[in-house]
Amino acid sequence: MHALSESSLRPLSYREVVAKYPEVPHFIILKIDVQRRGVTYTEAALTQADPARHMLQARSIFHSIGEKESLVPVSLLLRDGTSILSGPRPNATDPYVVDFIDGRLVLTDHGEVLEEVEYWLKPDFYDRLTSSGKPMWQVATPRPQRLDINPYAYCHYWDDGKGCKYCNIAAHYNKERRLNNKPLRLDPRDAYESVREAIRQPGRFLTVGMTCGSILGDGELFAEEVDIYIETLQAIGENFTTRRFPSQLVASAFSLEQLQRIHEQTGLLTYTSDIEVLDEEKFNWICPGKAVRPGYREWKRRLVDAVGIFGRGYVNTGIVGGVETAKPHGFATEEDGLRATLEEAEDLASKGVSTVYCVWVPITGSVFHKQQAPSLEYFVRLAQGLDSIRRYYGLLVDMDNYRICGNHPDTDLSRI
Amino acid sequence: MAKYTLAAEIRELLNRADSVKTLALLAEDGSPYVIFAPGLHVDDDGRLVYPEAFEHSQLNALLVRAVWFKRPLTVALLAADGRSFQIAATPYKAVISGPLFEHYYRQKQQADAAFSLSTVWLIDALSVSETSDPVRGPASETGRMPLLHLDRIARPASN
Repeated sequence: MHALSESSLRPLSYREVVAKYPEVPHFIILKIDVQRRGVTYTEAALTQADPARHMLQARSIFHSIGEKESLVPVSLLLRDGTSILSGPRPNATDPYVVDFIDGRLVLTDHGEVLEEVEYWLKPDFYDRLTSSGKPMWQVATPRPQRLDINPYAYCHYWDDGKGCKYCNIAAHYNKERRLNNKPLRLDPRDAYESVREAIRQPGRFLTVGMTCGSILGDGELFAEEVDIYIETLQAIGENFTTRRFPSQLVASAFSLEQLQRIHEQTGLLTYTSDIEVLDEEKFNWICPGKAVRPGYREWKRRLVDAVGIFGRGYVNTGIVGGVETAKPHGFATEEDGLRATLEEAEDLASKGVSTVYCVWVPITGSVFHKQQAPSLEYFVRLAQGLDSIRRYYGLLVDMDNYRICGNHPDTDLSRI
Repeated sequence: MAKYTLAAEIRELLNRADSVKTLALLAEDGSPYVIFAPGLHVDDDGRLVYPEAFEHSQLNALLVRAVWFKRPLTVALLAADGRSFQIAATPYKAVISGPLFEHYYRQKQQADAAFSLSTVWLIDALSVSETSDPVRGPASETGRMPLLHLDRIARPASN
């Protein structure tokens, strides 16, 4: 493995990382760096964004685009089919720029053209209304191949201020409720109707993804969250002829009994529970609520339990890649952070649980919003490391790959 | 629009049902991987199009590798009249969603209910050469000492 360019040296640029890691496709290095640094658009590029064709509005659990103000492309697609979930980054200091040059939309960096891009396309159902009158784009958020449903918009780890320090879910919900009347709870019938309309478009969608904030409850931990997922999954499942349907639940770490209930009572196919930080000490600092309920080791144990229910290759966990280097209590060097993270990922892989990562973006509304994400090189090595671990343990990651999800550089590498 | 323009005759031959077409790429270990590709055709912009059925096939993986690392591929074309051509090419784009993908999706669905479609590959031709014997023979042998077995110039034996 390559050695990281450590802190005495300046971090390598995109071009330098591409040259140093010829075994990693430049598409994926570019995707990572666009997420790290953010992206903005020239006027010429924005004139190519057609509200009739492109997704210029989205309501996700972490951000909203085009609720009222100017419409901008929700995200980007590269020539090789790699998605870049770009999201709004109004405070980005050195963003990439999408421009329209010589009849092509291109990603540029300080004027240099790097790659062609496309805006995500709008599905047919997008502008329709549910029978209750809700715009379907506010109910189901599409990616190029996936439909996202968020049955509940808040995370109750924030009730006593112990939410995860990189996460903006509570701030985002409070703002959107005030500005745009965003509901806390999604009506399962709206979800059913939106999915029904979406899947009428042949060849458009491959899977349904579902996630919400954690709901701790007063009694059994996560019991209410489980009930909400079951109700929503059952409603969505009415749309399909098969007992199980391609789907991914990204949820809290449920107990064995809760997992069995979900598996038996719904058509859910795959289960993800994001442990977020793969080191117990850093986890306890960064995710103080999860550290207590149910705790790091119990979270890991529950992931392994889930493999027994959903099967090998149908369970994984997500981490916020890079957040383990946050200051002041994160790993002092990127090398230490990488080593610790991959050791823990290997422990999980040896028990049938694969680990995928999202690029940490110190986002407005999170405790860590003034922090700095690690170097591009760090994220490239993290992607390589997680991919290599899966290959060594023979773990397939079709459940969270470039088209089922599209937000994990490590699973992009698993395409070949 | 592809940069290299395929001649009208080649476009027509690629789109004829009675032409035989193959796709060839090199695997990681250097061994050639060749597959018959009846679905390979040329679109209105002159770009090669290949709808690949299977997401996890060796061909799809090799095409991904080719678009990632700018590796070449070769199309071999055999026309019904016996002429053959070789097209040097490179993948331009993997289309996995959108109107073009949905067009091929519907087309395949109408032809076969048990269809499969992973990726619509758009491929840029780089050059074309004819490989029929009457063309490639003179092209390679002209100016060289003839390879001529002696029996062919032997004086017939007199009885």
